[in-house]
Amino acid sequence: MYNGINPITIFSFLSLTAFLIAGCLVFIVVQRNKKIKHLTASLDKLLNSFNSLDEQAKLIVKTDLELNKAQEELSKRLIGLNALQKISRLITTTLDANEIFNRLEKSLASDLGFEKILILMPDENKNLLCRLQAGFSKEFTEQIIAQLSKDQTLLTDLREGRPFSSLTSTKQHKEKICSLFGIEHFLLNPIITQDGFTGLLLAGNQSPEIFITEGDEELISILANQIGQSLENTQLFEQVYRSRQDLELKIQDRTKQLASALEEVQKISKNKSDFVSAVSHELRTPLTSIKGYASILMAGKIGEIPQEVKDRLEKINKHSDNLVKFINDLLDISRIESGRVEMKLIRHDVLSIIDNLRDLLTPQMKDKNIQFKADVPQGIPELFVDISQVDRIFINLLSNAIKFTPVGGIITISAKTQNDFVLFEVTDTGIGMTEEDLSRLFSQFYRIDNEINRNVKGTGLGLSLVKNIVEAHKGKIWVTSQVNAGTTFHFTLPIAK
Amino acid sequence: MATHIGIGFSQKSNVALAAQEASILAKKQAQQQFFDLVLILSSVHYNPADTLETVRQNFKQTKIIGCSTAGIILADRIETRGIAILAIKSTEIKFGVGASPSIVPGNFYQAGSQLAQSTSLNFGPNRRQLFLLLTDGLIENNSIVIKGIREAFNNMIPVVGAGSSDDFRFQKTFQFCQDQSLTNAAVGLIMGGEMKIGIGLKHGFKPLGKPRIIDHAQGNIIKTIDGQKAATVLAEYFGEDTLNFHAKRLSRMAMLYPLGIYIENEGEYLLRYVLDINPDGAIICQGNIPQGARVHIMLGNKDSYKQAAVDAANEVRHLLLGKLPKFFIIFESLTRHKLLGKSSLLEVQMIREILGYTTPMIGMYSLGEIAALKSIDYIAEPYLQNQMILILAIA
Repeated sequence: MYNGINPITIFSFLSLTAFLIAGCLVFIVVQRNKKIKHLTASLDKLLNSFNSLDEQAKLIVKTDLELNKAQEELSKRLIGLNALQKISRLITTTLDANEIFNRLEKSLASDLGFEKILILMPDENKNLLCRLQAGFSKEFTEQIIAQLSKDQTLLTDLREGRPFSSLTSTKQHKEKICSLFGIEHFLLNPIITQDGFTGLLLAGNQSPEIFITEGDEELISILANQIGQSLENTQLFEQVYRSRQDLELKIQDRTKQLASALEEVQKISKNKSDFVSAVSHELRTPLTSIKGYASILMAGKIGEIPQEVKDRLEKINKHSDNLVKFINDLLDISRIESGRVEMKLIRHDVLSIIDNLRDLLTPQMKDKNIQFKADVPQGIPELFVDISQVDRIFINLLSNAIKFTPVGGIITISAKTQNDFVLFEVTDTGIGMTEEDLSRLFSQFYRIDNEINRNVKGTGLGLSLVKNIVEAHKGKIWVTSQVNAGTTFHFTLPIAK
Repeated sequence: MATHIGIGFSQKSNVALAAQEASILAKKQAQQQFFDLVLILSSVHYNPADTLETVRQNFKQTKIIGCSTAGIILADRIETRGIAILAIKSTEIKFGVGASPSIVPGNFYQAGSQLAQSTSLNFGPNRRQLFLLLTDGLIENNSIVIKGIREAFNNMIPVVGAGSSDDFRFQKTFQFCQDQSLTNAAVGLIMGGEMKIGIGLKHGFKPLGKPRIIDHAQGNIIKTIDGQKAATVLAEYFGEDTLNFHAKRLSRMAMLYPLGIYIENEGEYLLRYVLDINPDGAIICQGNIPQGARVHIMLGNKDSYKQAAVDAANEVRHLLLGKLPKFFIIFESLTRHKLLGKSSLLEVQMIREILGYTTPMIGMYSLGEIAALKSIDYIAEPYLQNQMILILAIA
């Protein structure tokens, strides 16, 4: 007994208290564990989120990297294409090979962005020469040339049109080219023209971080072709230029020869005209005497002559007249050719010319029952001509037409304006002419060999005279014809202004 | 109190004629005979010694600084070949120039310190407000050079600048300081006086995917990420081929998807351009890598790059309290130029729209940009960064 407090009670109280404390502790521990578990779960969740975020980041970086790469390549290609366009324009606008390389030198490295550029080309003796270098020293270039000449394997491949690139070439080639040119990345292309291998173009970078891309490969390949084409153009131009020079020299020589021949011909022609003129004059004087004496004899002024003699004298007179006409024609041609005839140009009405002709030639046409038609529009401008000469044109042409048009045929004269001239056409429905005849028709003394001509005598000077008269008026004359269908003479005479 | 600015540019093929023309044009634009500072930006097509000789003939008593670049940014065009001159005459701004002529592995830090000292000496006892660093972009560890400079000034002045570049061959760049044309060097310019500084720095990339932890890095090499070889992690995103890429085929991918390293204290991503993959699976970056940092693959597009330029220009304007600058210089990563392509000029026009169409400006495409991560806190620790656009404006 302890002062009335039961020890059992005390023990029970203590036990209860201890139990309560233990219970509380257990509760706290359980709660803490729960909290820790919760926090751990949250932390795991957070970590997972972080990791998931990081995975997304990795994806973003990879996508961004690809995008950047594509964008970089695209922009590089665009820059390259622009540069290529610029360079192409520069080198295709000159036809001088040296100027091509000058222009290339200025823009190749700066526009295409390669650190090193080299163009080597073989000379006539097949020795390599440097035509363009950027980023290489002269000494180093000489070393490269010496090396390439010594070991021809690379050149042999290039001659076969094979390009090299640090992207696609074999390791062996890459090492060889990098070491030869002292670069890290390269594009080595042959320059080919129609004559085959003309040179090599190297573009490269010494900096390891400046890479060659597929776009660069295409670019340099196009550029090498472009250079080849431009060089070919210069060669062609040179050939054309040389041919032209040769041709010009030949033309000059030939012109000299022709001028000299023309001078000779003119001299001969003048001599001929002078001769014809002199002979004609010399012939005309005795002819006048012959005609005069024949007339005296025929008139019986010296005494009556028998009829037979009279007949013979008439023939002499007739042939003398023919001879006088022939000599006059010759003299006219000679005068016109030598410019000794002074054309008396005055205004003249076309219709009145035609009417006069109609009156003059109607009897002859009636004899052969030939119909004459004139197709001349009213109001046709007046001519500015020497009317006596123009009459000779028409009379000659119409006489020929009448001669070669069969009975019952038609002869037509038409006239129409053509610029500053009136174009006349004299058409018949006669026997026509062959092509061969047409080509020689206006030659002096040329007479077509046909039955009519064989029966009718002529001098072969008429059409030559017509041509001379037309040309003396600055006009032109030509003829169209069809055998057995008819002939048309076309000629122009000037309009009065 | 006045500041006169002249900018001249020439593309003549003869180096002496080009340098002469650029110098004359700069003088003509500034309408001054004597100048306090000349900044030369030249493409590597021109012999640097000859360039400098001609420029010196035209600017006899002037302090000269400059470097080579992959491209010159002008107000109306972008040129990858040419010589540009920025000539400044000012009664308000003081200039001091210096060089650390030969930087080799092992002396990066000392080179930085030496550069800070020589530039300070040239600047004299004036109030220093800004250190502009132009360093050879091909130097292995420019981060340490920057650290050397920064600590030489007791972290007291902002360091900004860029890595000089060549014509994308990554072979040789050059720097100018006074009458020296240098390579493997860093040159510096201290500016101070009556001036306000506006710095804008942006990249336009966003993190993608889950954060990874760089658990082993040394200098500019990341060895492992999340317990895996660093290259293996890259391969998860870019494909198995990545492991075989190495420097040759990595550049485009590295440009498009730089690594973004999250800097805890700055709350900002530091971009790192992947230069190469080692045979052991380690990644070589351009610039130091903090071990233990979170890293992401970063993603951007032309619009986000241009927006970054606009944001950078707006930050400049904000820091200048809305005032238009007297002039500004753009240091832009050459990879951005590659990525933007023809839009590069549009980007410049967008910047000019904010900083003033008539404000003289010049710029270069650089191999690494140097500035604090946040423009607003430009006095903070500077980093060598990649794929950034950095605008430095003086008002």
